[in-house]
Amino acid sequence: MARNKFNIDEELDVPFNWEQFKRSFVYIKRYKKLVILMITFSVIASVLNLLTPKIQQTVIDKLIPQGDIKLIVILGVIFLAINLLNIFIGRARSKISVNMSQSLITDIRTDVFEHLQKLGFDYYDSRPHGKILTRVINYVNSVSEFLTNGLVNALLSVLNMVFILFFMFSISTKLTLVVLAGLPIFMIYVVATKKAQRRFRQLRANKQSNTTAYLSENINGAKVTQAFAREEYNEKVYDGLLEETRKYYLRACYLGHGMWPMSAIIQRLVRAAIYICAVYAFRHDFIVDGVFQLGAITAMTTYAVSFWAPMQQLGNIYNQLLDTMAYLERIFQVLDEPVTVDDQPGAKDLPEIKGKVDFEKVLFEYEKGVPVLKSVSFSVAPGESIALVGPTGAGKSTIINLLSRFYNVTEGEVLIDGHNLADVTLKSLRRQMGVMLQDVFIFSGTIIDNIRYGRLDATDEECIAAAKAVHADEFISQMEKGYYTETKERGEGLSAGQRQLISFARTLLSDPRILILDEATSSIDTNTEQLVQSGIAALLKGRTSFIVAHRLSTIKNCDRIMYIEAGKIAEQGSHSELMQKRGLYYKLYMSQLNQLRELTEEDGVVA
Amino acid sequence: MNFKWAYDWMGKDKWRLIVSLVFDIVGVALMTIEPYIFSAIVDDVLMPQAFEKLLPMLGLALAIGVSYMACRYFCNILAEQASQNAVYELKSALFKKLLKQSGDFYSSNRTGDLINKCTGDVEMVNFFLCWCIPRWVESILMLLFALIVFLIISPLYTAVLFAVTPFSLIFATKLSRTVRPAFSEAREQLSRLNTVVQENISGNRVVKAFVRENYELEKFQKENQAYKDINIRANMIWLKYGPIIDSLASIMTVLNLTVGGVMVVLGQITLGQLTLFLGLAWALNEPMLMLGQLINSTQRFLASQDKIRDLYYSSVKVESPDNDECPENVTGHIEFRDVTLSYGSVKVLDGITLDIKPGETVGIMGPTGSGKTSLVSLIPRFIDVTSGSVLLDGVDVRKYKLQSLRKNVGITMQDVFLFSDTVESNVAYGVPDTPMENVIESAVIADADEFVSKMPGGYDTIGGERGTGLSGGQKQRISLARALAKSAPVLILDDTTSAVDMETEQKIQERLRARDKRATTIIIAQRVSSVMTADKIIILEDGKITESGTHAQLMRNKNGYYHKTCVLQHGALEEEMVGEEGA
Repeated sequence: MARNKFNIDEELDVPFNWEQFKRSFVYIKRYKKLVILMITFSVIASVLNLLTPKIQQTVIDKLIPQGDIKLIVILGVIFLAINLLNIFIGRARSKISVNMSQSLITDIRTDVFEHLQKLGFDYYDSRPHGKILTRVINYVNSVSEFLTNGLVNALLSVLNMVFILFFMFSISTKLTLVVLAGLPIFMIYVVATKKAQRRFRQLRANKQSNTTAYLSENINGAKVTQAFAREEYNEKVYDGLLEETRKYYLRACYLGHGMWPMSAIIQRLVRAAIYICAVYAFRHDFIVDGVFQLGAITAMTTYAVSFWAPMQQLGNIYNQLLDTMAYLERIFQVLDEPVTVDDQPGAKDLPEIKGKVDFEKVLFEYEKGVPVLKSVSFSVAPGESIALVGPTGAGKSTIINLLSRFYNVTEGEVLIDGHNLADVTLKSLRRQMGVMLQDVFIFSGTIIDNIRYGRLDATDEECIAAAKAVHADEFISQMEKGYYTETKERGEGLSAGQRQLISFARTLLSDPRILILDEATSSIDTNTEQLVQSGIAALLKGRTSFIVAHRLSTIKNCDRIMYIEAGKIAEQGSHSELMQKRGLYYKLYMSQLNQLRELTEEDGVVA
Repeated sequence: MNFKWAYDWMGKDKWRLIVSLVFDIVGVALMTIEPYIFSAIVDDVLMPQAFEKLLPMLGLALAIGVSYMACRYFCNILAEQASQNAVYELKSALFKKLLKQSGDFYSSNRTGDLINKCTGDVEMVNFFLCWCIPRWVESILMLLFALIVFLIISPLYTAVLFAVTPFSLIFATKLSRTVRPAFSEAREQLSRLNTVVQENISGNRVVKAFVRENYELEKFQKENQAYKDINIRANMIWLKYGPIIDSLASIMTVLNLTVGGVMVVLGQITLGQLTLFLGLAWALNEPMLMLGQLINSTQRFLASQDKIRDLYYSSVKVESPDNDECPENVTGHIEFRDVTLSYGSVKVLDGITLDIKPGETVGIMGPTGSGKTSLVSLIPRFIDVTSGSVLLDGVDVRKYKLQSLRKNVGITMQDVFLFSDTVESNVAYGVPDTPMENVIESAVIADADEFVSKMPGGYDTIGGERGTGLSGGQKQRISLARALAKSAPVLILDDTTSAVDMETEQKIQERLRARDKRATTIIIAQRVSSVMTADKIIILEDGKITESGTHAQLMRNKNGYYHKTCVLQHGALEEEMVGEEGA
C-alpha cells in the first residue's frame, strides 16, 4: 500500500484525457434544460447587442441632420427598452447559472462524500486527512465555474465565430483566408505551452493540497509541536510548502496570462494583414470601375475583430479548462478508488446473531507478501467470552477487525452462526456488532448526542440509562450542563478515561449481539473499570464477546484465553488450563506475579 | 483602515502593485488611442489612396497594440506577484499564530474553520489585491477622465448625464450593506460543512463500526444543502441590485445619445462634439457596469478579511516572556507550590504542593478525571496555574522562554498524535537533525525498534495520520521513543503504556532505569505495575493529593486508594500465589 505524506505529490496515472472530461457531462446532463435556456438567453442577448450600433448610426446619420427631435426621443426610448430587456435577460441567465453551478457543486460533493463512506480503513490510513478534505471541499468548489459558464460561453463563442465566418466568406474568400491564417499561429502558442501549462496547474493543485494537509495536521497536532518546541522548524516547512505553491501558481500565471495578449496581438496582425493584402496583393479584386471599394475592406476588418474577440474568450476558457481538469481528475480519482469491502452481489442480511463464531484457516495480509495472520482457525460457542493476549502487533486487533469485516480475509473464511461474512450485507453484520476501538472518537455536539450515536432512535432516558450502566453518569452529572455539555472536536476537554466511558455507553446503547473490546478500558481507573465490567457482564450475559486487554484481572475472568503470537494462536484454553500447561501464558502470568512478589517480599508487606 | 491591512501584507512588494497600476493606466490610455490610429488609416490612407503611408501607419498601430498588450500582461503579472507575496506572508504569519495557541483556543475553534481561515479566506485577499484593486483604480480613473472631458466641452450636458450617478451610488451602498452579511454567513456555513466532512474523515472507524454511513450522509447533506442555499441567496442579493445598477448605467448611455442628439439639433453642441461623447461612452459605461461587481467582490473580501483578522489578532493565553531565565544545565528539579488550577468555576487542582528531586521517578495514580493530566500539563506550560507556582530548577516555569522550557521537558501524551510521516521523522520530531543512531537508540528503549524493523519499510515506513494503522501499543511506543529522543532532563509519561502488555512495559521500565543520565520521570498510569517501582507514588483524588509515598508505604494504608486498586488488580494474583506455590 503506497502511503502518502504531506510533502509527497499524489501523482496521477491518468494523463489529460477527454474521457475524464466527458465524465463531467454526467453532472451537466442533469441540467440539460437549464443549459438550453442559458444558451437561448445568451443568443437573444447577443442579437440585441447587435442593434445598439445600428440605433446610434441612425441617430447620427439620419435623425440629427433631419433635426427630428421627436424621433430622436422615440428611438432613445426604444434604445432604453432594448437595454433594459438585455439586462433582464442577463439577470435571468445569471440566475440560472448560479442555481446550476451551486447544484453541480452540491451534486459532485455528495457523490464524493458518498463514495468516501464506502472506502475502507486502508484508504483513510494511507494519506493525510487534509488531502481528502481538500478534494471534498476546495476542489469541488473550483470546478463549478467552468462546468456552468465556461462550457456555455465556449459554445457561444464558437457559434459566434461560425456566423462571422459565414459573413466574411460572403465578402471575400481571400481575405477570410487571411483572417484564418492567424489561427495556426495562435494554435502554435497553445500547443507549445499546453504541456507546461497543464503541468504547472497540476502541480499548483498538488501543492495546495500538500499545504492544506500540513496545515490541518499542525492544527490537530499543535500540542505535540509545542511540547517538542518544534514550532520554528514546522514554520520553515510550511513556508517551504507555501513557497512551492507560490512558485507554481506564478508559473501557471506567466503562461496563462499570456493567452489573452497573444490572441489580441494576432488579431491586430490579422487586421494589418487585411489592409496590406487588400492594398498590395488583391488590389484588383477591390477596384470596381476604377474605384477602390473601401466599404468591403472596412467591413472585413470589423468582422476580423469580431471573429477574434470570441477567440480571446476561448483562450480564457481554455485556461479555465486546464485548471478545472487538474481538479476534476483528482475528484474522479476519489470516485474511482475501488471499494475493497463491499456487499457482494446477492448478499443476504445476516439474521439475528446467536453468537457462534468460526475462523477457518484465515490468512490475512495488509501488504502483499507480509501475512499478519497465518492460517488461524478457531471456533467460539455462543455466549463465550474470549480474551486475546499476546505481544503488540501479533495480530489481535486484526482478528477483531476481520470479525466486523473491516477488511476482507486474504484466504479462508470467517463465519458467524455458520454464515460466511463475505456473503452477508455489511449493514446487517456491523449493526449487530458492538465494537469499542482503541481510538475513541468523540464528535463535536453534546455528550448525549455522542452516546446516541450508538442507536439514533434512542430516547434521552435510554441514553442516560446506558451511561449509568457503564458508570459514566457519575462524571457526566457532575458537569454544569450534564448530558448537554458541549463536546469539542475529538473530545477535547475530556480525559481519556471519560472519553472511553462515553464510548462505552455508546456501544452499550447499540445493543450488540457480539461485543468487541479493544483496549477499551486502558485509561479508566480500576475501580470504575470493575464497576463497568460488572454492569456490562449482566447486560451481555449469553452474548459472545472478544476482549483485548493487558490487565490480567480482566483477562482472567474470560471463558477462554487465546495467546496470539506472530499471527498464530500459540495457545488457548481457560486460565487454569493454560496455567497447568506452563506455556507462554503461564510465563506471562508468572512474570507479573514475580514482579509483584518481589516487591511485596522486599518491603515485607503482604496485601 | 480596512483595506490598508491587506495592502500592508505586500511589504516590500508594494512597488510591484504600484508599477502594475501604472502599466494598467498606460494600457488603458493606449487602448483609447488605438482606434484613432485605425480610423486614421481608413480616412487618411485608404480613402485618398495614399498607400505609401500604409506601412508606417500599420507599424505605428501594431506598436501601440503590442505595447498595450505588454502593459496588460505586465500589469497582471506584477499584481499576481505582489499579491502572491502578500498571501505568502499572511499565510505564514497565520501559521505562526496557530502554533502559539494553547489548548483552550483549539477547543473553542473548529479545525475546519481554522483551515478555512488560512486557505479560502486568504485566497479572497489574493483575489482582492490582484483583481479588485486594479479594477477599482481603472474604473475611477476612467470615470474621472470622462468627467473632465465632458465638463470641458459642456457642463450642462455633463450635469444631465451624471444626474443618474447619485441613484447608482444609493443602490451600490444598499448592495454593499446587504451582501456583506450574506457572504459572512456563506463563509460560516462553509466552515460548518468543512467540520462535518473533517470529522467524518477522522472518525471513519467509528462511522463504520456503528454503520452510520447513512446518518453521516444525512448530516452532510444538511450542511451541503445549506451551503448551496446560502450561496444562492448571496448571489440573489447581487442579482437584485446588480441589474438596477446596470440599468442606471444604461440610462446614462441612452441619455448620452438622446440628450446629445437633441442638443445638437438645438445647436447647444456640435455634431463633432457628440461623436466625441459617443466615442467616450465606454469610459462612462465600463466603470458604472463594473461598480456592482466590484462592490460585490470587495464585500466578499471584507467578510473574509474579518475572519482572518479574528485569527491574526486572537489572544495568546500562554505567552513567552521576553527574558529567558533558563539555567544553563537544567537538572530536572520540579516543585509545585500550593498550586491551584480552575477551569471557569471548576477547581481541577487544589493546593498541590510537591517536590520532585532530579532523577527521581514519581508515579501518579487516581480516578478518571481527577486532574492527573492537568497537573503535568503545568510543567511544560500547556496551561498556567490559577494560583501558586510551578518551578523547574528553582525558577518559575513562567520565567522560562517557552522554547527553552519545553526543550527541557520530554512528554508523551495520553492521546498519541503521530504525524503522517515516516517513523524516523516521528521519533526525531523534537530533534529533526538528530543522527539515526539516536532514533534507533530511543526506539530500542521504548521497545519500538523490534516491530519497526519488521515493517516492510522499516524506519522509512509512513504511518497514517494520528498513526492510524498502527496498534495502540505501537503508537504509544513510538510516542515514547519520540519523547526519549529529545534527551530532556524531565520526562513525563502520561498513560504511555496503557495499551502495552505488561511484559513489554517491564522491559521498557528497566531500560529507562538503565539509561546513563536518568531523567526526572513522572509516570501517570492506571496500572499499579506501571508505578509501583517508582521512588514516590502520589494519589490524586478530586484535584488533591490524598496519598504519597513508596509502594510499600502506601500498601500499609489499607483504606487508601492505592491499596484498594492494588488489591483489585493483583488481589487475584496474590491469592493464587499460594496456590501456585502449592502446586
